[in-house]
Amino acid sequence: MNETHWRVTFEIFRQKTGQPCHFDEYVMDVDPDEYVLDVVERIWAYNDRSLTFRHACHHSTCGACGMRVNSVEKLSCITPIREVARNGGKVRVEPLRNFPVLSDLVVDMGAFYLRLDDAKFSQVASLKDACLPFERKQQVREDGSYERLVDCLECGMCISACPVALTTPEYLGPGVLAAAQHAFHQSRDTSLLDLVDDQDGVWRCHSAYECTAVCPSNVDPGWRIMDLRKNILRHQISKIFSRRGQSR
Amino acid sequence: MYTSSKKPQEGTFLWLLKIIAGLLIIIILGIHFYVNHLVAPGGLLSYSNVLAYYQNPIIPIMEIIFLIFVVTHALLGLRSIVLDLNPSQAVLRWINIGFVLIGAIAVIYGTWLVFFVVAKGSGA
Ligand code: HEM
Ligand code: SF4
Ligand code: FES
Repeated sequence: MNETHWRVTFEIFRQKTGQPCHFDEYVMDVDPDEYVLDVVERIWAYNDRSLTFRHACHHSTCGACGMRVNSVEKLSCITPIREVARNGGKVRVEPLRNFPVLSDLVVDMGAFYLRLDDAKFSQVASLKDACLPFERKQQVREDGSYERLVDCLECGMCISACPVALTTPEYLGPGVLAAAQHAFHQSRDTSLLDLVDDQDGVWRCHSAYECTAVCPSNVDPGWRIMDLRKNILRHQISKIFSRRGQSR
Repeated sequence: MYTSSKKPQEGTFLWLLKIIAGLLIIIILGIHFYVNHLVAPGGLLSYSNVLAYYQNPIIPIMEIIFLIFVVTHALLGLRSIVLDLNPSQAVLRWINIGFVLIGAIAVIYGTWLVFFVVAKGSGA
């Protein structure tokens, strides 16, 4: 064993629908600069073809490879072994929390995607609106003619990390609330405020900011939830005054 | 539309109340510390010091307001945590009644205590 050759035991969560879960151990010879997903793929290719997991792009763009590595949400395609293990050590790989497990490391993200639709999640935005409002803007054109993909990869890792999502599947969750905030920021569509002004919407959050901590793409859902609260309050106050104005 | 049933048990008003109460706690606690430790000569070290301090009418009023806001803030905060246990509507109604009762008893008892101390006079 040397600096480019480690032996690491992978403990992988296994569960097929309706069956009890367990962990399978695979002792793997790895290069510490490989990524966790590379090794998971190798386990599938050479050790166990029944292992299921999701991935597509291998470069932190598709958001499909989110897993819990040693109990922390990670995009496994960009998480080097060196960061999560040592030579002779163990790496535990589990599916995301707060989603139903379909098979091994694959979870059912259906409800999350449908809620993103409700939140009018838009995958592209003008450069001016694509990032957080307090970030330094780059390459902005006044006519909004440049667009780029928004930051959110729809990986669901924020929902997995959220302690409140753990208490109820009804909670819209950080990724969805962040999408609603972003859509509201772009469109000022107040139906979005109505959607999230709910016990299971923005008011459920306890400001743990775990979502912001694990988000691989700088979306900062925690900040966006607080911004939505501010906008709901502002909207309600302005409604009171416009009602007064009309009744006069 | 994936999410439908609206649940209004937590909302802008309660949140705003919690935030305002939290802010007032900081302000009043600041005044409380400042007065107790820096304005009162040598600090309030004995029981008779405290009795004399309460003779200034601003003090009992401030302490009662402080009590009301701490109780409000703490119970609203606890209620948000209890909501994480997903109580049914019926149970939540009882929990709300319980919180209001606890809050009312705490404020009434505390206020009575303040007046009791004030009524003891300057302790001389
Ligand atoms: C320095 C004074 C205080 C400040 C500025 C403060 C501020 C806050 C804020 C901003 C929240 C979060 C509200 C939200 O996001 O929904 C909160 C929640 C809470 N506070 Fe305070 N607070 C203070 C003192 C206290 C005290 C003295 C107590 C208890 C006796 C208390 C108990 C709670 C509880 C139980 C919660 C709910 C926590 C949660 O939602 O997860 N706080 N407070
Ligand atoms: S907000 Fe961040 S963590 Fe949540 S789904 Fe989007 S990219 Fe993933
Ligand atoms: S495989 Fe696409 S983000 Fe990891």
